[in-house]
Amino acid sequence: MRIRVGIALAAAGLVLQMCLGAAAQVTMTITSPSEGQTVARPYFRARLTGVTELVVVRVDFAGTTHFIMVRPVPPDTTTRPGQRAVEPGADDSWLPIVPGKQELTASVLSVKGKEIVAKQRVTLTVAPQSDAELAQGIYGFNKIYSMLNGAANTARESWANFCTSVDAASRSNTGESWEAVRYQAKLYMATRSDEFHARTRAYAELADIYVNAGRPADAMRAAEEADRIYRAERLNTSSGEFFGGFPVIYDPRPAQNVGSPAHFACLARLYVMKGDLETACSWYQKAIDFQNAQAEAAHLDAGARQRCRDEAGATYRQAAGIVFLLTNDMTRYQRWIDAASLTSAGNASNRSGVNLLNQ
Amino acid sequence: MVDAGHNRRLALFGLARTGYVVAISMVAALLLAAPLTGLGRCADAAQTAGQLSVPKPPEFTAEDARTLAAAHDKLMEIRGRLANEKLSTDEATRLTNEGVPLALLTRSLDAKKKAWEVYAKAQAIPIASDPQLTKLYEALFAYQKLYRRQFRMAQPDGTSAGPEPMGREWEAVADELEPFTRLPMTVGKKGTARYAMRALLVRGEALLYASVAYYRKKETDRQLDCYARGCAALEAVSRPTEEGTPGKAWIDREQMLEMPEHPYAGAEFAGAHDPSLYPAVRQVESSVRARQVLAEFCPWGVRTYAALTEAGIFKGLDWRILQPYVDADAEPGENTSWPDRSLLDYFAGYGRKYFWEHTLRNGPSSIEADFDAFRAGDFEHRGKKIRVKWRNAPKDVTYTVWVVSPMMSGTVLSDVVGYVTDAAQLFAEGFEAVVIDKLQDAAIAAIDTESDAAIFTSTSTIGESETGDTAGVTYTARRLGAPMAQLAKDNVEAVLGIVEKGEMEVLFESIDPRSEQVHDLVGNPKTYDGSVINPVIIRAYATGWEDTGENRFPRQWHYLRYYEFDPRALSGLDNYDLSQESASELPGLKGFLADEAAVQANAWRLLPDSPKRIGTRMYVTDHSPDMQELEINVAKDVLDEWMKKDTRDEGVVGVIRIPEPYAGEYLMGPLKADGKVTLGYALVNRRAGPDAPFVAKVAWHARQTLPTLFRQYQVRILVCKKGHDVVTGNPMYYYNDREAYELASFPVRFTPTKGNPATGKLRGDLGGESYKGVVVMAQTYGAPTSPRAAEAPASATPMLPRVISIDTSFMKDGVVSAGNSAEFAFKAYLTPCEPGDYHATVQIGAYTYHVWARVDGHGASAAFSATLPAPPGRNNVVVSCDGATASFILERNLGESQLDWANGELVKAQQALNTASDAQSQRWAISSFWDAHVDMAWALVLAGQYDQAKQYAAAVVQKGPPAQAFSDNASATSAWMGIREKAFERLMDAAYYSGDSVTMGFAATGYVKESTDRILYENANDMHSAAIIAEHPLYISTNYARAIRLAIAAGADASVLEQLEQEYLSWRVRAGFKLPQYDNNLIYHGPRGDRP
Repeated sequence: MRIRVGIALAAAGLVLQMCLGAAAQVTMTITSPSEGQTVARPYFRARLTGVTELVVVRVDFAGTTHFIMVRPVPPDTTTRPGQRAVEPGADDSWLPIVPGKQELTASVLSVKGKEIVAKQRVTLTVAPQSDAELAQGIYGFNKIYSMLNGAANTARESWANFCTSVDAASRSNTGESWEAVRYQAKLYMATRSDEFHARTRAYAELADIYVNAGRPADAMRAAEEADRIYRAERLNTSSGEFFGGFPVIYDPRPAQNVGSPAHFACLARLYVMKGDLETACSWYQKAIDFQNAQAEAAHLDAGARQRCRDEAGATYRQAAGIVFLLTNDMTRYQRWIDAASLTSAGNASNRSGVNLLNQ
Repeated sequence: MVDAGHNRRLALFGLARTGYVVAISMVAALLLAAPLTGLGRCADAAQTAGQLSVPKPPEFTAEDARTLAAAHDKLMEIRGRLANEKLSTDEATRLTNEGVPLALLTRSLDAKKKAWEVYAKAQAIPIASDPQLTKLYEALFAYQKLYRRQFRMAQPDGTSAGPEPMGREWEAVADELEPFTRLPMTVGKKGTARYAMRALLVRGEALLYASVAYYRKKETDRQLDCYARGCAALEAVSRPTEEGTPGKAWIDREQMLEMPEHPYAGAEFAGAHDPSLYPAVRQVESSVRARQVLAEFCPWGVRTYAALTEAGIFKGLDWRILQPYVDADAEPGENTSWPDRSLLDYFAGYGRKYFWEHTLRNGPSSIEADFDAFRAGDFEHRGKKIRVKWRNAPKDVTYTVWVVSPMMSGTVLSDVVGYVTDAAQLFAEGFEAVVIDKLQDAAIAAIDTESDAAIFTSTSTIGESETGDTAGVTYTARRLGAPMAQLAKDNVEAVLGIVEKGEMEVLFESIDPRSEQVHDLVGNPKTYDGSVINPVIIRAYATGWEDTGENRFPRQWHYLRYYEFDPRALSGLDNYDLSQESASELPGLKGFLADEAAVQANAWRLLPDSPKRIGTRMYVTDHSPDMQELEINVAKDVLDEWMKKDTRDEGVVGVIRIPEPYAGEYLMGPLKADGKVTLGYALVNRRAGPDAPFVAKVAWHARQTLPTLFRQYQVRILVCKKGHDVVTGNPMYYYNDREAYELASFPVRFTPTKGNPATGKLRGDLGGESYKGVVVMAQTYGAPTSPRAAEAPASATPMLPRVISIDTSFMKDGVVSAGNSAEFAFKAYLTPCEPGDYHATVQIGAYTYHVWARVDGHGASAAFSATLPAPPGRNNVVVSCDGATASFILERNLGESQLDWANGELVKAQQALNTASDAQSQRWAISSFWDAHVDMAWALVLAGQYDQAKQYAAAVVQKGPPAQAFSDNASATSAWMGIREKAFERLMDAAYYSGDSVTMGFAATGYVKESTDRILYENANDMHSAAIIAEHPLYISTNYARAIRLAIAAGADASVLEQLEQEYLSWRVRAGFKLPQYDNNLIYHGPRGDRP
């Protein structure tokens, strides 16, 4: 009897040792920012070793706390059996941009034991770029102008093509030619939609430029400009049908994916940086609803329809990461992940997908 | 462990766990046959009567009589003097002191005299001289002494009552009487049946009083043992039988004892022992007295009581519901006053209870089965089919037994009813106390609020309902800030309390002795003395939480059924009347104890729902509040930005989106920039009704009444069209118009769930007053959710500076090369732009050209695209628009000059004109001469000598012959018209290349006129094939298109362009274009009305 108890205790101790040991061997190296670095935009990146189970990296910076889930990388069975392919890393590009000297603390928390198994601290200086620096930087505005100009050119040419087809049809006055006009009309609307989305995308990219320059308020201006454009023109890009407040865009080319306003996700990211999860989620949800609305377009073939749903699903997953980042709540995270699967599979409970806005 | 005492008691009741049928007959034999056989044995001995031995008091002698008389006389004299004479104080004192010992002496001698007289009288009465009967009387006398002590009466000898007897003293008396219970049951003048009966009666009573004494001492086992034996004894007396004829004619066969004639003889007169009543009372039969006692001690019937006890129904019975066990001297406990105590207890007093309730671990199988449909969520209630999808299905049924005391009377009831409207709790240990632990976990899960977070829930319970959504509401409001577990417990308590209160109707019906609905159901059972047996009721209760989805507040269903015990099912009697019938056999007992459904169904009858609905009742607890008041404030900077959009024609409004199943959007109203609250709105639960007091408190803003309220909603801030009511002038908002667009969308969550806090600050007061069932939430939009370090503010510079970009696709090293071409494709963009018309000037060398772009989209680029002149050589090009400029180099080769050739042609034409001799040749010479001018003009244009080119071209127009100069010859006329047309065209070219808007107006107009005239002339004179003639409008329109293009670039006057364009469109219509406005050739040149 005594021997049995001894064995049981030893076994329990072994298991305990394994559990604790797995977490205790974790090491973390912060690769960005480096100690004493001056950056326009803080960006956290770390390399972890010894991760054999799910851990959470907690990043404390400028009065905010973020949580990053890090899973162990499964063994690479194809090339190096039994070895780990790549060490897991932690990324956080949602840190607030607060000018001045700052301290960033990163801690690795074991999920099971809820204990800190690794910790590192770095100091950095956040210095936003001036207008002049911005203009000289590699992130110049040329790309934005180019996107906007290209969009304008596309719209102009699309109108010209449309006119040509109408001209021809209106003179020949045959059924066939009018059919061509109808096709061209849809194509024109779709092209206008592309142009419209290209513009929102351009301002969303402008926002990214400002974020990278360490100027989140200007970034917000740019993203809100995109939304202003969206609100003002969303009705013009539709062939008439609306769903859930979103125009359903009919592209006459069945395999063609409709564009989507990029600023939904952009605004979501900016609100994440502000720590406003509710608003961030509401923007993600808008992006999801938009894609789900497009998936309803009658003209789409199955492939394009699936791509719309996949994009919605991807946005759910993106939001899931953010939810965890700001709440450290695995349950809520999982709800968004589940919704992603449901939506990708086309099994969402209603036309507009799963609404997790308030969850 | 089953104690021996318990088995013994069961055996006494005939209810031993095994072989109970046999046991019943054995006990019957024990209780009834034993006295009868004893009577047989002692028949002879009973023939000799004996003298009752009474203790002898001190003798009252003659001397005592004299002393008494003297003392009495003296005392009377003193009293007379004190009463009638005027005495001094000293005299009066002396007389008084003299009288006191006389008074004591007189009283003492009186008592002695009285005791002696009683003794002497008793000695004179001849009673049974049998020594055995003497012992019987001694035992009865001992019983009487205990009885007087029990009820605080003076003893017959005048001594005080003494202490309350102990249980063992009662048992000792009972034991003394036991041998006499076996006296022969002979009747007649000398029969001993009456003695045996009385011995058994008094023994039974003594045992029952022993049980009371043991009860007071909390010796439960002994109490129950004595109770069982006492009841068994009394039941045997209550129905005496002649030997061999059990249960027959039992009342008439008992003979009454003689009426006692002196107090000592009253010992056998059990139950009427007060000497002060003597001799006004009359003797009663032992059997009658036994039934009176049993009615008090065991009103349900001895066998039935035992059966109910064995089945667990009476387990833990509170004996204070029986009059003999009432403790009149009971001290108040902790909760001394109502409403801390139950109302019924309050009226009963401290030592008694009118009502006892008790929880059963397991209910009868028949009742359990009745709940299967409810558990499945598919059941009928009041004839209606109800389907409920459970979140937490009702699993366990909770059973509560109600036992109404025989002491409960109509008078008590009316007293209680008078207070019932204010009664919060009728029961001391309400069933909530029993089920609360079970329900608490389910409640926590179902309410689904954040663990240990501050929450606010309001609970209201829908009253007794047929369908689950009727009105009739009681409220309990929960508070902020308590831990979840405590709140859940409070909540469950509150809800159950509400249900409990609602159930008082059933209770009152149950305890009402006049309730025919309750008593008729089980055949009006009567106890030993003929009075009604108060009911024994089982309340079966089950509750489940409905699956209401994530957004709705949880709903809890309560299902209650009431069953009344029917003693007929066990006894087999058609009429359970113990004053008339014997219930010594219980044929249904076996099935009852084995929980056989068929027997249980007969034993427990569902209370009827008519005329009052007291049998089956249902409650639905909706955990939604009565009203949710929302006060939204918007951060100033955000609000300022929003309110810029609030104009006469457009308004900024809030709309609220209601979740499924009442999905819809409602207008909350316009945002107020200057109010204390930017946007106020109330959601009112329909059941609260429009006249609820708190509704008036929110009259300052809009509200919406909904069938139920939700945990959270979505609020959207929209900009929408604003109209005005023609009568009132009040604004109307078209918030569901397609044109409405969203400024913001955010959730409002009143009830936090796990991981999701409330979105605002919650409180319970409205305008300084607190209303149960009202939740107020103040939420701010636009403020950061947590204190964070400040970000850098937005910069003052434009977010995206406005620039002109040149299309670089034709550019090499910053130089655009036109090659040998006189024109080049110009493409540039002004970015960003708002919708509108954009005019850019392009300065190429010394000349300025004009390009236009129309922008339809916001934040877009104005795309300028045109074919523009490329003057020969290297030119600096500057593009300007709205203050933005851009420049580049344009190169064009001069190419091979046509000037020499043109000059030669002109010389030759001059010579031909000079030498022309006849009219015909002169006509041709004129034509050639002016034609050479046209060629010269074009050569000059190509050479970049635009002014000279204009002169050559203008000379043709101004100095050449008129168009009709050759009207006699169609061919010559046509040729001449062609030359004039070309001259105008060259003039137009020169104006275009030189950016001369004035000349352009004249030239372009002339060109289109001349070319049109020529074509029409040629057609009129059949100079073309039919096919070409048919297409002439197309040709004409093409010429118009070119003229318009050049005129735009040169900056021609708008009126000219307008004129040209109208004519152009009309020719396009004539050319067969059904939709002439869709024209890619129509180059844009500024605002001119709506384009498609």
